Amino acid sequence: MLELINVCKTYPIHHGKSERLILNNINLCIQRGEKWGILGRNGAGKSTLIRLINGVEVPKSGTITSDMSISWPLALGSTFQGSLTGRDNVKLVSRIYNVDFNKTMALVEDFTELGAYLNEPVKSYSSGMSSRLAFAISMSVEFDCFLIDEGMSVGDHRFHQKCDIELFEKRGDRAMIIVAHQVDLIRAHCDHAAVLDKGHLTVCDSVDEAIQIYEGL
Amino acid sequence: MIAKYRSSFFEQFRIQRRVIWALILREMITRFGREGLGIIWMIAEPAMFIVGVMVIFSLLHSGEAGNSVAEYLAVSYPTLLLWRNGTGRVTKAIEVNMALLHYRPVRPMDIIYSRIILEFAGTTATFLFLYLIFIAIGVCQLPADLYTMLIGWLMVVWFCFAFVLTMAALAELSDTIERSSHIILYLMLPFSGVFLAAHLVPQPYRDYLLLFPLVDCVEWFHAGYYGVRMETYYYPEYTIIANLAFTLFALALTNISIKRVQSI
Repeated sequence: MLELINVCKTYPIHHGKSERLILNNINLCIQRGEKWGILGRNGAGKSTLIRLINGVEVPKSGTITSDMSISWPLALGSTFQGSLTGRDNVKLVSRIYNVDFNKTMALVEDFTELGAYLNEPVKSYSSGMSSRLAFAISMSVEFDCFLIDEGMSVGDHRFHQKCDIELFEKRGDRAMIIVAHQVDLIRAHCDHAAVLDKGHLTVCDSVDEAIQIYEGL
Repeated sequence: MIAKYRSSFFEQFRIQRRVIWALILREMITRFGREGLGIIWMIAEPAMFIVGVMVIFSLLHSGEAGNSVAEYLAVSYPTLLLWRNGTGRVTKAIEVNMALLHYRPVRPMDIIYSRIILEFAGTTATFLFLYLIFIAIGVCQLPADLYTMLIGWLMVVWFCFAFVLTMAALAELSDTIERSSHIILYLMLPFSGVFLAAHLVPQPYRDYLLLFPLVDCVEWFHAGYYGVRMETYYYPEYTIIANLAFTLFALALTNISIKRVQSI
């Protein structure tokens, strides 16, 4: 279970003289295996919410607890160290998560189809290439809960097909949190949904209701 | 493998050790690369620096009776590199490596620890490397008391650990300190135990100087190396207690600064 209780998040503005409230009293409870879609317009605080759940940042108040292992936002290439090669990044992740490097590398080579590029620094990759790499590496660690950013849309058709198979079919029993401003992905894969607007998170009874609210914003 | 993070203390400790090791290996590649000398730079750069300083000071000054300036610097200058280079290495380390926190097992403290360990290991290796060469060519002698020298070095490392943490945390909390940290580091030189050995300072000022634990640590280290060849002054109990208190202070301060980095 992943639980957010009364989570507030502010960022300093005017050189720290005042604060801007980004997330206002967020409450959310995600059980194992649930697929959550979180809809929100640009700047609604979706990425901030992901960073809080991910543990990159800490909330101003409130608590976030989880007994699930949580992935990094899939397809988010910026997780990588630009000066390292794709291969080195695979090595780093497999050391951190204690998974077998050779197995992971084989999987990554097969999935990303990057070939010789894996020996080049990640900073020379296109955004599509780095999301393929990020996605492939995350498939080698068996997370209980996947964070999915809309950034996945940078991949091409073939990549999307592979993602669908690996993520939504083979790992269909895991929890997922999909954050997006387009409704297609959420309509296709989620069984729960919420709308994030002006710092408030509205948990809806059904995905369709959430889409309706979101489109009415 | 299912990665779980809520587990016993020993499990957490195991994860942290693994993460720190992963970060150290990563840091070695990002810092030194694979081209040219690569990892050898870890020792080559500080070694060149120390030898350069030794040559210049040997030409400028003649040593005291029996002990050459070069010998003194060979067993003193590395202590300086610990806190000076270490501070530079750890300052802003978390901000630069924020993206690593996307991997949940990586905690901000691990980034700091990995950099400190790499830096201190590099400096220690450099010292050992140069020291063995200096013994071979007759600039240095074998230690008078190896055990004391070893403990002395560990004391210096311990102090520098707390010092580096404190400087990094302060730099994070205040831009003023971050910008002026090189001034602080420079002005600390007289109190580093290197340029002003305790026996050169008359009482009661010597005791005031020894209130700064770094001087005690370096004197301790010197006591092990020189033995009776040089007068050394240090208070072992005071040094340990001061280092311990300083470490607790440093850890608390680092905790505050990490919270701050993560909330911006």
